[in-house]
Amino acid sequence: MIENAFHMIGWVFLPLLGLPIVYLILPRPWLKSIVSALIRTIDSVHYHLGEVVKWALPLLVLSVAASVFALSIFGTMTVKWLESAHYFQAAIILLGAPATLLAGQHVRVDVFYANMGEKARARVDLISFYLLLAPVCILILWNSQSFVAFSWNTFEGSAESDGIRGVFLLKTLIPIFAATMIIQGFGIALRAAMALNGETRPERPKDIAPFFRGSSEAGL
Amino acid sequence: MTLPEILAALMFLCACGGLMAGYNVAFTLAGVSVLFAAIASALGLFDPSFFLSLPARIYPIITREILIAVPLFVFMGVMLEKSRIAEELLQNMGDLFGPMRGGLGISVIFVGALLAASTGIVGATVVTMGLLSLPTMLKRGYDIPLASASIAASGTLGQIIPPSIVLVILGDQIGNAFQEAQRSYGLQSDAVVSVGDLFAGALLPGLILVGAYALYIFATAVLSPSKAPAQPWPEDTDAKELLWRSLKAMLPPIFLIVAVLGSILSGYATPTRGAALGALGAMLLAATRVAPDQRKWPLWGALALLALVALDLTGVDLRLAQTEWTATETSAGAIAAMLVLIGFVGTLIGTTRLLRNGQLGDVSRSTMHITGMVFVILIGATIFSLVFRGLGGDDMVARLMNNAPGGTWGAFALVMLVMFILGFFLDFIEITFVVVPLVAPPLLAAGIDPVWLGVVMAINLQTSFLTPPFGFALFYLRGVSPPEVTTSHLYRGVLPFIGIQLAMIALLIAFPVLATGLVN
Repeated sequence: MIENAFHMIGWVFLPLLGLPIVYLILPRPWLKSIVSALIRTIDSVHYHLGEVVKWALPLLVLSVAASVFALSIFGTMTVKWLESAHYFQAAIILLGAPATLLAGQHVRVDVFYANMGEKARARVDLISFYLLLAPVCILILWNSQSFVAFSWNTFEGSAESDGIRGVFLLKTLIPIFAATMIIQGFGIALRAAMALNGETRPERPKDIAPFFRGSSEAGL
Repeated sequence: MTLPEILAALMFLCACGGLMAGYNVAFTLAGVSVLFAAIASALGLFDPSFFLSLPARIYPIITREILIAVPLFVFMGVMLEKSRIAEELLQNMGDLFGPMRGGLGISVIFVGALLAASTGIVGATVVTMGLLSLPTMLKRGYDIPLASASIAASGTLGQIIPPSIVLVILGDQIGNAFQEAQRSYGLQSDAVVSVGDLFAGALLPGLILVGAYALYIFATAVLSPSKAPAQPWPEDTDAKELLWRSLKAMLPPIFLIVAVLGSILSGYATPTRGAALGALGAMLLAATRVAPDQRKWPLWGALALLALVALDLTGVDLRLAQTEWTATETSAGAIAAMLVLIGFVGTLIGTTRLLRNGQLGDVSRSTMHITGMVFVILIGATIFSLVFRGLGGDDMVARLMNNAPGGTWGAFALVMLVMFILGFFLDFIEITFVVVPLVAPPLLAAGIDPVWLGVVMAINLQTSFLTPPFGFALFYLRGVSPPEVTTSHLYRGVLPFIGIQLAMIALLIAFPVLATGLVN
């Protein structure tokens, strides 16, 4: 039942992923306003998600450091406290990933990329979204169905009897990661389509490096 | 070669070629392999249900205890960098050792080695070091090839000096490979290799390299003084004041890194816990610097926590669960409670200060980006390996290595050569994730020591990053250097450093005990 609902959502949104191509072929003004609004929404949601998730880092530092003192000196610690590190870690990686993609911080080999102009860079990102990012994330999304459903069926908790009873939530982060990466990749592909049409793109969120900027160009 | 194996080899080549296009590494690796999996399943050579195990492979990556050390070390490094502790350290060392011939150059080597260790990404380190120190060196009349090459070299040196995140990842992979060698290749051993072992193994070779680099600069300065001129202290310098200022800048970060390393190597803390203590220490140091004229609560907090560890090391039993408290234990417990309170207050005040001036948020964001980047590459490499194995590529690699001329050592040389060439195109992390799980198990099964193998691989890769024309470090440095520094300056300057690297590898092959001696 729930599974079917998710499938429906997926099938409805799948054709939408073609929008960057459509816009590249038909750069109509009314379409432009839709595209710009989509880019703004996606960027802003993922930027703010990242801004929230980043606070898991100081929490991770403080909680692990506290556990060192408590455990090795006073010999007292709860399993729940120790396990919390895994939850912080998973959140930083999987929920922070779209913000990292948005910030252009996933490392590239820039032997040739460094010398490419704006349009060439935009082309790389547009083609790679369809050829590389989207297939990988859809694959992860599709194959995590039974993995996550199985975990939800029993509301799987920690293997330790007094651990955190939230492993099913932790595992759910994997499809969420895949879905948000598709959406963020889609947002960047839309920007790439605008760049290829020679248009200015919507403002980026604060502290985010420009997209597709060549060595001597300014860009958004 | 069978058809699936040809596909596997082709996939590897396509991935390397695809990376050149400049899309992000993680999704290029994963995407190319998914495309090949699709082709292979269309031909009936690959079973798509292989991918059902994908989430079960991703899940352990994000919850692995040892890998939690990665964000913690990155946090420590970024905190030291953003709070300008690193910058000040370099400046003060340069001032202090200025009157010595080659003094500034040697300072650059030391600071690079010390502080590059924790951020662990070649590009980031070289860029930071280049921005910080290259202009100063040129201003003081250093020879351009010497100045630029010593920055490139010391920036990559941080990779192999513990505690660096690449050693955490390499150690984890070598440990897995060692288990795989025992399980699938019939290696008779029940030993385990840990990240701490690799730290211990890399320590001595790393220090020898630092020494050799410094010696080279010193020798150059003595033989041709114009290349690394001495810079006397200004006339009105109060020697005592300068010394005090330098010590104040140098001691805290050096002490921090030595303490973290010591706690891990001595077995007092696991790498993850040591990293957390280091990150906390860096936070407290940064917080002390944020408000130099306010009360130094964060510093007192750090000292209190340190005293707490010292108290624990005396062996006094402070476990709360015990029923028999002796008089000493009670008084020690009272002191400990005081120290905990001071530490807690110091941390609280320090965190608040860093929050207020926005530094904590900035450091956290940067750390999240670097951590996300590292782990998404790990996920991408996992998909790549899954397909590569599904096509029988691992058997092919094992067979290739078995048939290598010269037996085990021939195979070893082949692996080193391939890694060296891959180092032109890929960063440390990608190579570690993709190559080590494939080639290390057969090598280890043939009796090569795992720690030694890890150390040699690390130095080999580091050399590759320095080697023209493709070396990573050279590109990055070129990107941030002033226009008078040309590519040919860099190429010329870096050759002696490559010579030192190769000598180090030869030394390790001749005396494996340099890497294995400190491992217990």
